[in-house]
Amino acid sequence: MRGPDVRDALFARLFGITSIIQSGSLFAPTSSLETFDRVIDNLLELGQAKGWLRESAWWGILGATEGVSQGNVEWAAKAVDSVVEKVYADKAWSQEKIALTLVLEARRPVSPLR
Amino acid sequence: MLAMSRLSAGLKHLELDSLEFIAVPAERIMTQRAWLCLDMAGLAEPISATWLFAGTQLTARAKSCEAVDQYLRATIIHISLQSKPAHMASNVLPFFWHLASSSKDARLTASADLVSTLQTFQSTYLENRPAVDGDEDEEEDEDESDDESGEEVDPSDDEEDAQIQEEGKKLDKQLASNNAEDVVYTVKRLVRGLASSRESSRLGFAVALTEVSSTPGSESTNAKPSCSRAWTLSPHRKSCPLSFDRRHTARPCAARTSETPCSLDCSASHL
Repeated sequence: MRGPDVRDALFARLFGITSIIQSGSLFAPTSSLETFDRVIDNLLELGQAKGWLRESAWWGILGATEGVSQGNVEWAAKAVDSVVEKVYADKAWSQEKIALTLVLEARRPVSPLR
Repeated sequence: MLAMSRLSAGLKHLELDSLEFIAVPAERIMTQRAWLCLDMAGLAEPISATWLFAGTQLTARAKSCEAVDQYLRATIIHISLQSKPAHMASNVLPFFWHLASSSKDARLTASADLVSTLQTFQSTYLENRPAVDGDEDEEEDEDESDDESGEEVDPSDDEEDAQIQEEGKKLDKQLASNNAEDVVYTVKRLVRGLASSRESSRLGFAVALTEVSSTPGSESTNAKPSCSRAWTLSPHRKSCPLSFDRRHTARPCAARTSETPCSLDCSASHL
C-alpha cells in the first residue's frame, strides 16, 4: 500500500473502533472480555504505529476504560485489570498514559502507580 | 462517460426505478447535465423518470430538460447505477452521499434520516421473520469483525490471515441472517466508507456507524457519557436506531442532547 492508503487504513481502524466504543456496543451484554481486549490491543497498536495517531488512539483507550468501568458487565473488573497490565507493561510515560492513570486512580481504590 | 452510457442503457430499458442520482460537486454539472438532456432527447417515447435529489423525489418527463435543469443548477448529478443491486430499495442510498458532506448539519441530518429509515426496515424485517429462539446475535460483534477483518494484516502471517478471513466470513453470514438487507448493506458500506478520504466521510460514516450499532439494550446499560457520545439528531427521531432484539423493539431511546460530537471533531481537527 502507498502512503496515503496506509494512512486511510489507519484512520479507518481508528474511526471504526471509536464507533464501537462510542455506540456502547463494546459494553453491551453481547460483548465479551475477549472483544474488549482485542479493541484495546488494536488501539495500542494504532497509537504506536504513528505519532500523530497516538493521542486519538489513547483517547479511545480512555473511553473504553471509562465505559467498561461505568457499565455493568460481569467482566468489567477483569477488563480494567487487563488494561492496566497492558498499558503499564511499557515503562515509558506519555501524556496520554498520565491521563489514563488519573482516570484509573479515580475509579480504583488502589493506584496503579506504585 | 461510462456512467452516462450506463444511464442511457438504463433509460432505454426503462429500468427507471434503479436510476439514482446523487448530488456531487458543482464543477461537473455542465457536462453531465448536457449528457442527461441528450440522452433523454434521444428517446423515442416520452417516459417519466424518478430521481432522488438530496432525498427529494423528482419526477421528470423525458424530452423535457427543464425540470432537470432546475434541479441541477446548484448540484450536479452522479449516477450510481452499477453499485446497486436492482432488487434493493433505493431508500438508503441517497443518504450516504451527504454523510460525507463537510457541512455538519447535512451530515447529521443524513445520519438521522438513515438511521430512522433503517429502523423502519429492520422492524418490518423482524415482524416478517419467523421466530428464532435463543438466537440473539447482535450487530455490534459484526461491526467489529468487519472492521478488523478489513484492516491490513501482516502478509508474513498467512495462518493468522486465513483465520481472520474465516472469522470474517462467519460473522458476515451472521450479520446477513439476522438483519434486513438494507441494514446489512448499510453496515458494510459504513465500515468501508471509514477508509475514504473524501471530504468529511470519516466523521460522517463513523457517526452513522455509531448510531447504527448502538442498540436499545446497550443504551440502558451504558453509562451516561460526557459530551463524547452525544450527536445532534433531528427532532423527528423518537426512538433508537435499530431494534435487533425483538424485546426491545418498542423501547424508546434515551434522549440525546444536542451537543456537538466533540470527540470526533477534536480528533479530526489535528489531522
